Amino acid sequence: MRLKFREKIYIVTLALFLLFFNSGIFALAFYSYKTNMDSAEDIATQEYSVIAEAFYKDCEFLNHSSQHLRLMQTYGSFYSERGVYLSFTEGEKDCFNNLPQGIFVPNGEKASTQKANGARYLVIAQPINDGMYVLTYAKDVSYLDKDFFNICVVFVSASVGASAVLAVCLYLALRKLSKPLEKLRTATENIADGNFNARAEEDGNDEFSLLAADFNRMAEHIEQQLKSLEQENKTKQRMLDNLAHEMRTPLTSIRGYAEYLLNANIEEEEKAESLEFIISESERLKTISERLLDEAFIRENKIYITQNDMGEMIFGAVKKLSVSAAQAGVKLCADAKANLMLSCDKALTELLICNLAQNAIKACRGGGVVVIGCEIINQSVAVSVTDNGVGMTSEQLLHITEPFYRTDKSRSRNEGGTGLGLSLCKRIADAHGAKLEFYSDFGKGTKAVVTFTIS
Amino acid sequence: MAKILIAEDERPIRNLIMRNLELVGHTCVGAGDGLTAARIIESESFDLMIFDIMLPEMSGFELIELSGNTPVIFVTAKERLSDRLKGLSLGADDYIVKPFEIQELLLRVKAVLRRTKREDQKLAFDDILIDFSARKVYRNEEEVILTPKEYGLLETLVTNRNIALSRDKLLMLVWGYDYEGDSRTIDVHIRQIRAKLGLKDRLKTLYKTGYRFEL
Repeated sequence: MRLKFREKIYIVTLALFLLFFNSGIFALAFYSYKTNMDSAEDIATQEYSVIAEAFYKDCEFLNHSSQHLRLMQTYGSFYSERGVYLSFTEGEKDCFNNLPQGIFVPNGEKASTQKANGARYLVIAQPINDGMYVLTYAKDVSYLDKDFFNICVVFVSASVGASAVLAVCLYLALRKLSKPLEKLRTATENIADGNFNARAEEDGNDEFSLLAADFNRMAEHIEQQLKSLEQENKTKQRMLDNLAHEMRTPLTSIRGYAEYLLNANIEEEEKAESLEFIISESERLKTISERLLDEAFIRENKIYITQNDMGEMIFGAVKKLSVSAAQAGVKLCADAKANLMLSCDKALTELLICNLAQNAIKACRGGGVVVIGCEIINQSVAVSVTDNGVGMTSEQLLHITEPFYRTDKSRSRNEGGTGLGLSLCKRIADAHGAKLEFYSDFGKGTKAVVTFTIS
Repeated sequence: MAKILIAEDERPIRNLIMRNLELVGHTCVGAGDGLTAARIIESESFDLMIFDIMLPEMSGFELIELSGNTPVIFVTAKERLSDRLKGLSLGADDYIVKPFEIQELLLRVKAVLRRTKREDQKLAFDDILIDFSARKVYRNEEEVILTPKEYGLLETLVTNRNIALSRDKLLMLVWGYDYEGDSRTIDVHIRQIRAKLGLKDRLKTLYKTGYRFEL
């Protein structure tokens, strides 16, 4: 049988209480019996000497010893009415004796107790009248035994009563006190069953509530961890799904055109066109794999930090992209000053700025304006790329840094995008400990901000 | 032959599907996004429509609502069961997952056309007439007796006309997946067909590749 903690405490407490309480009661009862017996002895001794003295004086009044017998009888009948029995002996001869049967005359002078006829007697025997007689005195003290028994009965019933009351009170108190433990257990069971949003109650300020608080903190932590893992897992799954899709489309084309070339009876012109498709689709696969490798490379944190001029990098990016921007009919300009030194990986940071700017250019239709800006805010350098293009919805903003996410699938792909650009930007920013944020108004434009902390 | 609409935003794939279908004698119309496809559906009628699911502007799931009684095949990279079930429950006649083999696409197109009775029942060329429903071949209006395997081989080659089929592929398509015979069996049957129907010029042997029926 398995006992609950509360039941164990209950049994132990009750057992200890009963043991000490009852032994205390019995000690008390016994002590009072003993005290009563002692005082009865004292009284008996006094009474004895009173009797002996009175008898001696009375004997002096009588001139003849033959009258002593008569006196003894008088004393005997007088005291027997008071529960005191006497015997007078002269040498070996009994002069008078009304002692209850079974009482013998003790040798010593001290008082002793004897039992006879189911009653208890205090017996004192001493020589009196200058050793002429021996007076034996027996007093019925059965009432002491009776008192002791009565006291015992009272004490035992009191003990039983008290124990019963204690048992009930203790049970209720323990049940109340162990409630938090019970609740904590329910919560633990819930969590063990996988219900991670279960929590324990934290009332009061004893160890239980502290434990509950700690427990809740732990549960909170686990739940958070699980949620973030789940989130991460979902993102990864989505990325894998997307990757499969991204690979599948060019693979279908490549295979299809190869089969077509192999099996169909076609003209030279068609042949050339098919081969071009095969080449461009292979190119797309290559770009995807390169981007994925870049990302893996940055994830491994293989970056080389040097001191670089941010202004210069921005001007460089503008120069590099000016041709493609002009082709798209977009005005690209820089809003930065030279001599703004920052610790970063030069190649990656350039890639980051270029990627953001390319995205901004793509987001603009003809007549758009893209501005790459840079400013110092507190202890950080904020590089921003602002466009007045198509913008994004808040739903799209949530996903844009996920690999293969595209806000406009067909357009982006036809322009040669892999859907990995912003995912790469996020990795580069993360590797630098920088923050990449997007602010967008659907239909009005987007602003991307990378915030580097100056350490 | 059938008139087929292809809605697929990937130009290379759209192009590939159209070319292969045209090769076997179908007429094709292509659309690069959902909206264009919807406009074409409104103005023209087709025997079959092939939709990609993830199309810009309007998805394949939306386009199928406009298809009416025309059979629909989905061609998509979405391979999850839930997507397949959704596609088929919306009334698609078939579902092809990328990457696919062109042969597979052609066979499925043929199967759907046959099921929906939109396939030509007869094909005539030179002095030959093939009656697909009766599985009979006539030359100069006289029936030519072909063995079942010979007829099967001829039908497969004619259906995939202008496309080379390897001996292994022909074995698989005509004899079945579990046939373990020599691929030279094909050569014997081809010789018989050529002799019976005088198809020396149309039924070409391709070096190292297989056979192609040209029309």
